[in-house]
Amino acid sequence: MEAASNKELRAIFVSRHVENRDYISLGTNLPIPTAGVLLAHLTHAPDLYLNVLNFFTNLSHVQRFEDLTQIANPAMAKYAENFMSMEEQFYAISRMDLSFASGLQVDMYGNQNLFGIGTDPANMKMRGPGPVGTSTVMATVKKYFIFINEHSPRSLVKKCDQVSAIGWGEGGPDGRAKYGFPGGGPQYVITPRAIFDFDEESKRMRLKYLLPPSTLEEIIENTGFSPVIPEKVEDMPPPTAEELQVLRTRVDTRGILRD
Amino acid sequence: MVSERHSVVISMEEAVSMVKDGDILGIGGFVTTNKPMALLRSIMKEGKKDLALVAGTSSIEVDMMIALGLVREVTSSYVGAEALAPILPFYSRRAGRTFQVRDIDQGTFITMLRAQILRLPFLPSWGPVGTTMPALNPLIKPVADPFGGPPLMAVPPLAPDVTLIHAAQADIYGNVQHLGAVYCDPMLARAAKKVIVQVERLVSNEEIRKNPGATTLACKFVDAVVVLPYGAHPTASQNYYSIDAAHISSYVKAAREFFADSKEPLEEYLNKYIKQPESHIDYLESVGLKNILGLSLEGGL
Repeated sequence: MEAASNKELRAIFVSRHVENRDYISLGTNLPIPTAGVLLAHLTHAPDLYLNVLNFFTNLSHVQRFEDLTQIANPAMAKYAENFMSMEEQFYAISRMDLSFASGLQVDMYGNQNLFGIGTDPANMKMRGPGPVGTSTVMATVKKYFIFINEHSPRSLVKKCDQVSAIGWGEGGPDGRAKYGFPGGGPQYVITPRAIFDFDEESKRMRLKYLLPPSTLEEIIENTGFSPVIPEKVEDMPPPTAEELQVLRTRVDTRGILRD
Repeated sequence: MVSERHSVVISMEEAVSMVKDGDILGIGGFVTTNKPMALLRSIMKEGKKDLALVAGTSSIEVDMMIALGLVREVTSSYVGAEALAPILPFYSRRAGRTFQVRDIDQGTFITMLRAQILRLPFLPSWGPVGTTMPALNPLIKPVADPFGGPPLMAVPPLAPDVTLIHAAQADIYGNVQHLGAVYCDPMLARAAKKVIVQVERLVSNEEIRKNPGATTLACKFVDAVVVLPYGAHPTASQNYYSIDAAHISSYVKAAREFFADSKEPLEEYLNKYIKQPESHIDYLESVGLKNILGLSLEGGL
């Protein structure tokens, strides 16, 4: 079998961190994490409860998924077990196990910016799409992963120009406690070059895995702050044949993760 | 004399006349699904201006109205079209210049609507806490927790003058059934002064009463119904048709070119789909039967 692509590795990382019976919300425009969750669902997590768009569903019976890129599409609604309003979706967060966030910028403590670029609120250089539900969800959900499509000094910054959702605030073990947030905060930051977790004490981003073909030098050069670098950076355990087969034949049937 | 229960079904022209210049306009649906596009196209054609758009999660409808210069303010948590266009050109480039943005997230948005529905002067929200949202949106202010916790952020009520909704079906009295997800529509309707619902089809009151549990907006919350089949195009309509990705992309491409080197493609788009069609049927003609029927969720066409 052809070796896993970089995008496939990221999806497989997500899949391995999904537990059976988790209740997970699939975000908008995040095809790689969506693929990861669905891969888990079709392998080790048949009892997932998924929140897709504005409905609840279990998709373990689906043989093939046709399009990972447009979840805001009613073609998916044929799988709904329960429709809910936007308001009811927020009522459900206290039971949610995992959600996904993204950002135009992410800082060293995992705070995110989807508002736009520019520090002057009255005169921003560029407007982003907006936070969708992330400001509230990331304050309240049990845990979340941050997923960005660009790893550069532009996207991984010392300090975000604007902050649309809080990660670990200004850092430290009580980075979130001072706000009183019910949620548990970000666990991983997944980029095209690497996967980071957070140092337990400083809550600064810490390199966990390098993703091929990146080198440690490239990570340091392309990150706008100094991430914590452990003495020994391990490789991500390689994909199994089953993971790759299910991913390619049932989840990512159009091969968008292999582009 | 015995009076009869009266119908709330009105024409497109009557619906558009319910919207005034300067109104706060609530727009239902979610990103590229169930957008009241036909009503909005008529509002754009009429050139209703100085509008404050309240669209929790929005896409090209907001961008087009900005392109036409009709917008003074946008309250939205998202303006984009997922993978088709992560960022929309006019929203992104003209924010803070030709119109003001009231930055919110979806949780904060429903809290504002809820404050209006319950007639409360404010409600606390987690969304803005610790973020720069209060600096971007001066309507959001800190509030002490009277029970001793850390401070929260207070948001004021939000009341659209007119809310526009797209749904699957209604009876002539205004009992509406979405036959799918309702998004923010029930809250946007309850918070608004007037509510206009465009539907794919009109059904009998008996049909509604067969399954009252499916009624998503009771007629009490609906001032007018307009029958507009395929009215959500190019966005999707639950149970009827999917998004017209090619059409949405053609708008996005034209809007991007406007800021690159050529204003013509956008002018052509707006002429063909907004300015020239005299009616909703004219619009559907310009899109073409083959294109429209090809989107059917039933398939096979």
